[in-house]
Amino acid sequence: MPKTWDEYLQVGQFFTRKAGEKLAGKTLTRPFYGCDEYGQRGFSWAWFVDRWASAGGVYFDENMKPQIDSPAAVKALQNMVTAVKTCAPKDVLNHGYDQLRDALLKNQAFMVVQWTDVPKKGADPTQSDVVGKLGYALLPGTKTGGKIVTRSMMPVGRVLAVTKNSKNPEAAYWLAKYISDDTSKFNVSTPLTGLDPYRYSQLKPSFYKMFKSKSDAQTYLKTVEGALTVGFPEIYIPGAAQYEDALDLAVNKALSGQQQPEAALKDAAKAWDSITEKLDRKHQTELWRNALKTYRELGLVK
Amino acid sequence: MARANRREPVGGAGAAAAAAARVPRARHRRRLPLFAWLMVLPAVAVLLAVTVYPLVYSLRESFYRIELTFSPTPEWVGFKNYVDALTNDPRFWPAMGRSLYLVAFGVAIELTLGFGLAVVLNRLGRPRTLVTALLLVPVMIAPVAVAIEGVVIFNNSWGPLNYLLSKIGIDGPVWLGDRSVALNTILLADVWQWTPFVAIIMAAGLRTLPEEVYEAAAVDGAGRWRTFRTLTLPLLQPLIIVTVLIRAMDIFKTFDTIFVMTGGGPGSATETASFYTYLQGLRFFSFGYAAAISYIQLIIITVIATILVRRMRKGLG
Repeated sequence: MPKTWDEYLQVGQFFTRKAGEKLAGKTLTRPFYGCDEYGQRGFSWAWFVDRWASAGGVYFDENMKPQIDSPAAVKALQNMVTAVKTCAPKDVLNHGYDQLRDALLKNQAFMVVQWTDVPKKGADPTQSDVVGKLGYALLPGTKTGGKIVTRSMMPVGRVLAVTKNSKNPEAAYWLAKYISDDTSKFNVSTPLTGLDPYRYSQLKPSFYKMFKSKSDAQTYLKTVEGALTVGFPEIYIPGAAQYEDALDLAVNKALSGQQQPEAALKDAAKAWDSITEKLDRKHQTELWRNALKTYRELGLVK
Repeated sequence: MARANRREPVGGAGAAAAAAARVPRARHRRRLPLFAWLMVLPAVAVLLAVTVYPLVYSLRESFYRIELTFSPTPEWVGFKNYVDALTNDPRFWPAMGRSLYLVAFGVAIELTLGFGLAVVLNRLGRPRTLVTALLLVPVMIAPVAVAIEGVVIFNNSWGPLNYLLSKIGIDGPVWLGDRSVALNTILLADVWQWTPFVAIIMAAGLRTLPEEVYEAAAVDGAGRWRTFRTLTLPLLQPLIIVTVLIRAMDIFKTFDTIFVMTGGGPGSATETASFYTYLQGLRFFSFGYAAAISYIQLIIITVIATILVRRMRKGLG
């Protein structure tokens, strides 16, 4: 498996073949792609952040200055643009979660970056044409100071909370516990849901019956656990949807050839500044500094 | 000799009788309005609640800064939202341009194809009823269902459209993943769904045209094209105008197909005004700004509709 994003491109390009060419001794009747990406508007920014965060990227600096147009960010976006152009299906810009999952499970693509529910579906013969043929690994990273740093975007959290105005807080707590603890291991371990393991108590191989062997399940869960330790957060301050949409638009413009990566990210940085001004720069800066402090304390950001 | 005014009483006894007869009628007239109001009141109440009130409320909102992710308290900003949209937003005018592109080409194609279909429909004898019913099928499908079908049909790798094209030696485009094609793919889905609607209206209109004028034109030696241009189009003008307006307003509001098929992409290729308004209002929760850009669109489409009606009347008249 590729260890760096540069290797990812090399591997992806190597395995990309046209219909009629040979792969693993067999003549292909359909094109086969070395990789696939989340190219659809809406979430393509997360696949970019996977690359950029491994190069040390952080959304803003201490003074709320956007960092998404840094040279590292431009290089990360260029990597994604190259992947889209050279080793992904032609309609990759229309690929969301479903198409990306199916590209792997229907044997159209050699490798994809996806959520942790996809390997479970990959082991389910009712959903997958590649049962027993999948391997799992942490995302490629970027070599920094002689060491390969890998980060995994952790978008979409699942949190249950009891409000302070609750009329029956104890009952609400026990219900939250029932959902989040008692029954969650069934919900996250079945291949029929899109849920990802998020508690250590959910990482027992015996829960994941779709895998052919215990060691397969262990390999999968070890990778999940590894990804959790190198998770990278979304933006969680007010205006998050606006910041993310502006970044997503820039990423998508670069992927579609509408703009060069550098120009696209500069526009995104400009849009981020406008959003910050619109929402009150002083207030946003204070919130971001608090968030950054918490991310650093938790080891999510160096 | 003065003419008798039929409304005025003639003679004394007759005058008294008429006066007596008038009294109950006057009372009867006074009762009618109240009764009529009671009958229409439920419909008026619903109309006020779901149309007028939201319109007025959102107009009010458009003069406030309402950023729900930041603060629930609205802040009066006057026309700032409007000024920002018209002069400071790099996405608004391009989005409007895409919407107007869909309207212009969508209406033109649907009207042309719809008219052609209508002529064919009217020439069918017995099968007309069945064919009309079949033509109604796309119209009855919810736009979101059409969009989901579209995702399958236009799929580059697995979709039937590119498969059929490949059978005749054509390498089909990446319908939804190529920014030079995606907006036209959205247009295609709309044309597929709504051309039958235009065809059925035009067919009904064609059937109401008086035969005598066509007979007279034939006697005078007018050819098909001249007859169409100088008789059919002017006679159908009111129907055409209404159809164009309905389709223009509908196409301008297109959201479902874009949301499902492209999400506004690739890049910003299919980010229309309605999609951008959805982003501002329901993703970013900037309700004041979303309200302002909604009203700007309303004003623009009203102006365009007015110009369109005047031009069409002039051109066809």
